[in-house]
Amino acid sequence: MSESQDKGGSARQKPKVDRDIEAVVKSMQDEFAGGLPERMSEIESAVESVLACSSAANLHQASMLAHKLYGTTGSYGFDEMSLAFRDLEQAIIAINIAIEETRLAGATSKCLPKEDPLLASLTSSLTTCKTLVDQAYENAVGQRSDNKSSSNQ
Amino acid sequence: MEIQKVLMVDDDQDIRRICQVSLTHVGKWKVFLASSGFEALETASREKPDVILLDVMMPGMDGPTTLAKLREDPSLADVPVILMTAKVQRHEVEKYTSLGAAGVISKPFDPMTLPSEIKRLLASA
Repeated sequence: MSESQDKGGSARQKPKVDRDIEAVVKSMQDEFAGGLPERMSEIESAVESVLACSSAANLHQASMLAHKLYGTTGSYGFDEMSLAFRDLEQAIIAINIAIEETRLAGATSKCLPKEDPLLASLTSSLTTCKTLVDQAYENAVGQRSDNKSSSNQ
Repeated sequence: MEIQKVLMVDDDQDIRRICQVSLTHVGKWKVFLASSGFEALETASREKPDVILLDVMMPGMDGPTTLAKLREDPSLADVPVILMTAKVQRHEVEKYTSLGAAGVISKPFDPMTLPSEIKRLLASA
């Protein structure tokens, strides 16, 4: 969205109406980013229960949350974050498949061994998502305080 | 076909909001929003939109089920429906078009080009 259009728009001035729409979208991006930590904490607790193999672990719910954020963050122009959530969803699905395979092989436990690389991959994906969410939030908050101080001048 | 009214259906409020901005400001269309399949059927019946954008994964009544219900209603059976999903695989696109969808738009989408994508799908349907 804005990244590619900014690049493409450097050679020729964009019509005012396009710039107005982009300003609206930019303001929505900031507002959306401001609410991301709350959604991240929801997904974090879902993923952490999967990692801890607690009785509350719900792989389907965790993958649905990641799936939704993949589509939503990308539609708001957070391309890198969108891909990170897609990776997180894939990591959760991989664990679900592995658990199902061990169950079919006769295992009674619904947990993977702590040293299983799939769990490390899930932790790493979660950390990446969290870092990107924190960055987007900081940028959005910084943007808002910049706007506030310039409107006060 | 000329589009004047669009119904956008998604359980995710953030997606509804960005779609509304896109379809209203870029597409210059009148936009109606629904947050579930049930609400979509009511709104479609009342507003008779020219096209319906329908999320695939929704709790309660999902997109394909909503599409089937729309197709059962003689007053809405001809309204083009475009499904939106983050899982765009060829066999799924074929499945949705066999159910009567005019096309599939993948998520994430670009709000600046969403209306032209809708027009393109309707022209090729």
